[in-house]
Amino acid sequence: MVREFQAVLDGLAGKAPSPLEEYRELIWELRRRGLTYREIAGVLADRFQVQTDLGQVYDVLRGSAGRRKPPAKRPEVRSEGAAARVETVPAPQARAAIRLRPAPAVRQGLPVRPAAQVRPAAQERPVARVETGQAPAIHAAQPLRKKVEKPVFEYDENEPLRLTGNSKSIE
Amino acid sequence: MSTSQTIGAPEEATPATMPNKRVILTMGGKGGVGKTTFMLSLAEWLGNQGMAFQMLDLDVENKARGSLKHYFEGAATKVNIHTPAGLDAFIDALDQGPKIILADMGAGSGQVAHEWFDTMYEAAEELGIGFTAIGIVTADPASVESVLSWAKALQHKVQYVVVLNEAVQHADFTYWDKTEQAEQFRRIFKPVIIRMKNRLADLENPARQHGATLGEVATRRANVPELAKSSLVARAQGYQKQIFQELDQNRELFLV
Repeated sequence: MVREFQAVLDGLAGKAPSPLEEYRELIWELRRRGLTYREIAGVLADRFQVQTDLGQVYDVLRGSAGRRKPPAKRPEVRSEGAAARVETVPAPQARAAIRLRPAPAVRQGLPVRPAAQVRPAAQERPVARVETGQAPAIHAAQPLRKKVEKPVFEYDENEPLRLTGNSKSIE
Repeated sequence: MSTSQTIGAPEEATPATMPNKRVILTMGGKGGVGKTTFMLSLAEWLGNQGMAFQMLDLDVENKARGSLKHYFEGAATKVNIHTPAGLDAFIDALDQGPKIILADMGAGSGQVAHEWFDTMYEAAEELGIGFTAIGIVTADPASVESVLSWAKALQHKVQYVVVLNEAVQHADFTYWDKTEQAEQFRRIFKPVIIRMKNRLADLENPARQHGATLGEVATRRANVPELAKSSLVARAQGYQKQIFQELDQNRELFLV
């Protein structure tokens, strides 16, 4: 890495942890008991004098990553056997919910027998490994999904509406 | 065994790929264009589909007659969006109740709504909430400008439905049909277009005054003498049939 860049990185403090981190277990339990995010924020304010909002409570439940998503890791796909095996390893304490979409073959109604195995582990970030069978050709034929940039709609409220076909504005 | 595995978390905290809950909101920038009128028809259509939904009346200006709450007393919840929590009511209401919310936004609600989408949209999306934004366009160019302003703020966060409200006979939609800005909006967002036919004042005015919906008039449940005339009942039936057909054709934008 360029030395100047490294110096900048070294000079930056890490992101401060959320003040709600220490209430994670409580928040989790309250959520499990059916309280809404807003009600949980109310409990924290009433009982612990912790002023927060719905979004922060939600972030704690999602895990320390907050609302910013890390770049998605592409699942490692191996084709062997008929069964599909899914392994998920949650981050420590984050207990982030992981929902894996069905394999393409499943979505297309082909006979893939899935099986899920969940293994808790510490000191590891979430990793998903999917093994599928009976549909290697389908996997091979699937083009990599490219993120399509959507066009931005630009509109100037200070400009009058302009008739099409001529440059004259409608006032 | 399912391919979907949830680990120790509430279901709603899972990242969603398709919306399993929906907020249908009016883009409330211009008053008196027919936002509530359309939402009433949409509410009756959803009821006709057997769909459970919750109505939120966020029109703080329209306090009495003509508001959603006026028509559905007890069923529509009044929400003041001018609070720090703003539109968090969307999330909380979906958290606890039906999977569809009809939110009638009042005139002048734009800034609050736009700020809320800026800060909360990503979280709402991950909760599986999809948004359908209803823009009402009349012959008045201000109604077109209002839709365009909202679209500039919301961009691709919502799916757009534009209702062309023929508030008068032979309504002229030049500002919607033939302006560069509206064309750009249509090209980018490909909104669904719905036409709402002009309605007789003899029906519309007493219905509004007494808080009677089109469906109530059409089925003679309005309990208002001036709305019991057979000709008005027949008119109401015709209006309802027309708008229901339009909604049927675009049902994927209103259901989950």
